Amino acid sequence: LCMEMCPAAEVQLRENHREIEAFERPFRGDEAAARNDYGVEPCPGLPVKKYQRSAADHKLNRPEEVRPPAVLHRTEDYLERYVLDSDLVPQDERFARPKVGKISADLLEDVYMFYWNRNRMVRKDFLLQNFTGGGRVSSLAMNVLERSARCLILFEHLLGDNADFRRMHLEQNEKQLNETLTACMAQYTGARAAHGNGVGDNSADYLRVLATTGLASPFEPELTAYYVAFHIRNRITVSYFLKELAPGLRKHPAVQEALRAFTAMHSEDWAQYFRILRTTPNLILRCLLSFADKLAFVRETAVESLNAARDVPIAAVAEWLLFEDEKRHCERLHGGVAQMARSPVKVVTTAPKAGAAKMTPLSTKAKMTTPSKSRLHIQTGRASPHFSGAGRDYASCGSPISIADPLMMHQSAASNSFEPVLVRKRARELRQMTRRENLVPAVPFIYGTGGGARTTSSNNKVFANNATLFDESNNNDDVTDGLFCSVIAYGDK
Amino acid sequence: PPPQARSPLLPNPTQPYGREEDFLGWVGTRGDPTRGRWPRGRRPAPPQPIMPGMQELMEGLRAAWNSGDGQNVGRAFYLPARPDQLVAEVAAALKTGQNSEALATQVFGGGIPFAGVFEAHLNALGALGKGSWANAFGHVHDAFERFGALLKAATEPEDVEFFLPALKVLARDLTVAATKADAGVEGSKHLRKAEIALKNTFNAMMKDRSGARKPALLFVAAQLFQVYSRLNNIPFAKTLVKTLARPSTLEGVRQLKADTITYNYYCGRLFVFEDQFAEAERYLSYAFAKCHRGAVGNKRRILAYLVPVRILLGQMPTEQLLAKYQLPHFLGVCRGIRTGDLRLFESALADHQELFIRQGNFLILERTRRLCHRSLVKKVQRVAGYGPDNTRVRLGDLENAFRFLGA
Repeated sequence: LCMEMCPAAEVQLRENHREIEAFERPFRGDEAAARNDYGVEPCPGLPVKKYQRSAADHKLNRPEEVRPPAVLHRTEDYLERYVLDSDLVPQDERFARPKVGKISADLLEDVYMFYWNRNRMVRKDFLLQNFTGGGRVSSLAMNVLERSARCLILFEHLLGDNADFRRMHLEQNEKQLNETLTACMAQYTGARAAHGNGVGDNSADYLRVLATTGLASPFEPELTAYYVAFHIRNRITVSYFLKELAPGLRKHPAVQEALRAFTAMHSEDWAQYFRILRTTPNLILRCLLSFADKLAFVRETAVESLNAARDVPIAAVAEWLLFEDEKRHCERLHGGVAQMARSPVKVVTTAPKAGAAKMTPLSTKAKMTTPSKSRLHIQTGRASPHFSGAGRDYASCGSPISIADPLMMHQSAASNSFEPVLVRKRARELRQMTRRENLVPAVPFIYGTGGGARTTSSNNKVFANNATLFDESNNNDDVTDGLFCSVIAYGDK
Repeated sequence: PPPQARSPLLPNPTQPYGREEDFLGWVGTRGDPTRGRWPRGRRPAPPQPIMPGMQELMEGLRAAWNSGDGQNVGRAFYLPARPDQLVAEVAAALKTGQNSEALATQVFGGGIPFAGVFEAHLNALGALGKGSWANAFGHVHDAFERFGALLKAATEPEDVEFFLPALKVLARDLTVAATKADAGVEGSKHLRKAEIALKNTFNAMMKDRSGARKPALLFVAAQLFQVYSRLNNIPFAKTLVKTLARPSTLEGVRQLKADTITYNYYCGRLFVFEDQFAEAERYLSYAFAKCHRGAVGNKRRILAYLVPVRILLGQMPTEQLLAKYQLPHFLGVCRGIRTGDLRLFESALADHQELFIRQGNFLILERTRRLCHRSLVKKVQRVAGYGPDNTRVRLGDLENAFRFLGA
């Protein structure tokens, strides 16, 4: 069994073929680790096993190359902590290439490609050890699958505006997300079946399983909600899935919320769908529900039903349908309506009045809050190119929830400077971390997740001290692990 | 006096339903079993079905075989859902070393392939006696396959007509055994095997050019529907429906009314699943109307799907109907829609959510929420004093109404 993140043979092979990626190279200031000046050597301990397809001459299930679940958990931790926010680190000289002119991994896409590739191999290693499908069940596998699912959802949300991403990677990402969620659900049902509940007994409460066996994950309702939200357009799949859910799980508020969104979508109740989208405190559910196809579908039904009205104030519609700005919305609306070949929407393109609250909404169920344009824009710390497009956004209404403001977070964090000194220190930490003793660096995590390690079984005592600094203390369900963990300031649920 | 049973085998075909205990009363008689009948007074209870022991089974089968009575031959193959005396006897006989093959040849005389079918059936009963449904399913599947081979070999229409009732019983046995074998186990391999066997039979019946096998299509399709719904895979049955919906398939074929009703019920359920409510209503209403008046259980099953569909299409069930057929879960929903009581509607949906999800009615009933809103709006219009001259209801009033009901 391979106890490193990447088997030594593969490191050697890739080094020979010059396939070491930028994330796996040593830092510029770290002379002790670099063996030559060109930096094409891998930093020891940094490479992660790359995704390969099994070929006739290259069998993937050789025991010396397959990583056991503990190592896979460690790999996922590493990916989330040290790779995912790399695009926010300026001055990371590993990416300095005179030709291209980059000085840091300032493109989210680089991070995404690396993370996606390595995460796929992590999941494939689980598959090779029979952890998915109807096979073995493990809390480590559950944990890793959950986090992978969350990261995939967030990536799709963040990169959705990028035309390249949409063209090349969107379907693959969705496919992988589908597989991850399915595997996760299979793990949950496997855990139930394996521990005395039986498949036919749907009245078992998942808390009981949690208490007795330690094999259940506290995020089960959250992930079930994501599964429902992912397949929300597919009535048959979700109906059958709901039939097989245990009642305790189905009554959980997270799952009930996803169920409400599901019924809203299929009974053409667009107002309810958008209300859930606006007011759910679960950020990842928001990301899921605002995937392009689902959002477009609900918007179409909304526009169809709004067509029956005489005058539709565009500001109100922009707010209801959660468009970011009105001009684009106007274009899309006219374009969309022309496609639908119905009587055109007579859109009133007046400026929003101050007393716009009195405007009559068409669905009586839509609560009219005062439309304030400032709240329509997403509050993020990222540069606007990520979110300037239409259609891939969600408004934060109510209390201003900042989904990810890493700059603010960084400024308020404890040790907080972007000097290269820290980069070197971090390299040392990394090397320590990847030693067999699994030492945890004493320096608090700068970027992102402190809550990465969930200890649900005694195997993971090593990581117990990790789950401290930016940990979620109260609400397990709504913490988004991985990317923006330490951020969350909620409105009330 | 009720007519005598025509054969010593179970169940008595003349009174399959209609037990006194099941009778809920004609509409308007509030459950009084003596009203509406002539002569008045308590009728004697219908005879209990005769449970044959093994000897009677074999004798009856031999008699039926020799007299060419296909119906009774089929009736010999009923697999009891719960182990009973017959099963116990068979198991004892097999344990004491009597070979099922020998028993079968004893019934039919030597050299008849039908004996193989009966032998497999006896093995199944023996496995049931030991309590293992998986083994029982294996034997039942065996019996079904042998019977299929037999049927394929039968060329003359009289022979085919003789064998068809047995096919119906064996198909039902197969489904029942598969369901029970997969009951506690994860994965559904027995049901899948059953599905494959039934599908092959269906295709074989379709391919027959002489048309003598076509009456079998309906009941095999019914069993296939059952298997698909147990496999949680109802859309697969769409191919069946397409085949049978073609007018050339069933033209001029004599069909039993029971088979037609069953098929219509399953077809209606399929359309409910696929959101084609007009078609679903047509099929389900036909099934409900033609169903035997005493078959309360079956009518209840039909109503479980017919009621939501009719609500969506605008026709509300009466509370008497829901009480008669014991469907209390629709009461809250119906009253909420009728009176526009949104709170009652939502609470009723939430209370019975499990049941509705299990039946597959969940989405339909969520759609009826629009009707509830509509009634509420009408009520607000009436109550808040809007008359025929003042029809523009202020949204504030509506909003208050909805807020009051906790929307």
